[in-house]
Amino acid sequence: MIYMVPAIVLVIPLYSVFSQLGLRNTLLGLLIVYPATTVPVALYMLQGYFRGLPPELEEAGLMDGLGRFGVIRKITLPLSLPALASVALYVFMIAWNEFLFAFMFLDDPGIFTLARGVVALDSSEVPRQNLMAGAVVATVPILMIFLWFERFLVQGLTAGSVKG
Amino acid sequence: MGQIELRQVRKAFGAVEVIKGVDLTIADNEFVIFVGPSGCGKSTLLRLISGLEEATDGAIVIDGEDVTGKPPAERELSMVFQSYALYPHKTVRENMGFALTVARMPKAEIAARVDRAADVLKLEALLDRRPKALSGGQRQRVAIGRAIVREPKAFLFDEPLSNLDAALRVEMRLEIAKLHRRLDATMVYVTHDQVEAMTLADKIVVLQAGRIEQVGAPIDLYMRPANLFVAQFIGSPKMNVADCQPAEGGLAFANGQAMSLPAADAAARKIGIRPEHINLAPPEESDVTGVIDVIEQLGSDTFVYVEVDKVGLFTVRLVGHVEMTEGEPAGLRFDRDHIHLFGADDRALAP
Repeated sequence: MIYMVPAIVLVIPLYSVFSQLGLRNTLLGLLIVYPATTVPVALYMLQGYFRGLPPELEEAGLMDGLGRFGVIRKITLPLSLPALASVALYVFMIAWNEFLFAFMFLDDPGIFTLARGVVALDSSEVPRQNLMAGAVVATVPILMIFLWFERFLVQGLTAGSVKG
Repeated sequence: MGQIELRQVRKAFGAVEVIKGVDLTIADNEFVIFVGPSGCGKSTLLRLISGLEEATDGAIVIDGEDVTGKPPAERELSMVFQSYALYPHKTVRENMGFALTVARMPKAEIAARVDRAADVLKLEALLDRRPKALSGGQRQRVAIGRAIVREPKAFLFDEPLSNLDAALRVEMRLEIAKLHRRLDATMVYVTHDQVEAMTLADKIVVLQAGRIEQVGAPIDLYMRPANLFVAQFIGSPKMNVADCQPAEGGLAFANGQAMSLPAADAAARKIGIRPEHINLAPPEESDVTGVIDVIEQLGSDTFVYVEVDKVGLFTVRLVGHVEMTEGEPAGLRFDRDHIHLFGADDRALAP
């Protein structure tokens, strides 16, 4: 839903509401906005995966003496690790690279996000190549996280559980 | 111990009632098989016993205790799924011991029980593998092993062999039979396979459209089906059935031919005769005559399909290899000791 309208349409009302609540120009404001925009995407992506898990596996868990929550914790979530990891990475990337909200809401250079900060450096004094270097450095954390998450992204974790 | 009792159990999904009042008692150590055509409710009935589905009405009693509303975890039953449903992120050992881990049993005890089950099922060499590194038959054995280690009150099998190839199915069928003898446990088994039902069961329950049609020992159902549905469902190839009318000293068929059967009930409207109880005979000794339509040679048996004008197609089973020609006329003689008669309501008439 949130991705059906251009972000700028959301920025304007949020700008006025956050201004009145004193949340504009605070990191707390962004902490509210980013999950609100990314959690629906994450849920949407994950539900397809959860539905794809064979229902017999959860039933086998029930027969083995687990309760409903036990099944989710001991069977569904461990099996969903690849999906959880890739969705987490994706959502982190959305938030990390987010520029528009940070640009509109933040005035104080002390709390600039990285993307916002790089842009703030754009002036006639700073050479272009340094800005470019800043942009490259901004991608490094995502690279690191990806390398760490890669081991969860094993394909075919559910292979062999059920026939077919 | 494992006595299961169903009392007037009903199950509806929305407005559709799939189990329409089932009364059944499964004795301790009994091997009971539910059979029936697709959609007759046999799997649903098993899931009702397991607790994976909740009954809409009626009671399910296990060992004298009413478990109708209880979750599967409290029923102490094990289930083997058609698709095996092994946990892919666990090794064979962890899969088999999982229920015991959940029950917080000491590790040594779990290992001992898993080893014992692995020994029974010849799985020792595979204990540290994951399910994806196993073949179909091995996965099925692990699934059975997972059920055994819990030492449940009863085993529930939901078409456990239908995903295996023919040769493996025969092998696993034997293993299940041996297992039942060794464990002395109550087993409830759902299948649509005739042979599994006939060979494994102490008692077969034939279901149709959510109702029990007949309950009995396999050979009883074969010899004395209670109605036309059971008669045609049990036995392969299925029983030949033809319309008939009572006549002087026997039965008359629609093509004008008649057979002598002095004991025939005057209410008989249909005659049933199994393929193995028909013999080919010269025209003067035969009950009906027709033309050979198709011949199937199986080596051990020969199936001859004889089309009798206005009466129908009869399947005849001859033992061994018999040379015959399609299109030739053939006379059929029915074995008088194995004739089944059915009334207008499709109920079997006493012989």
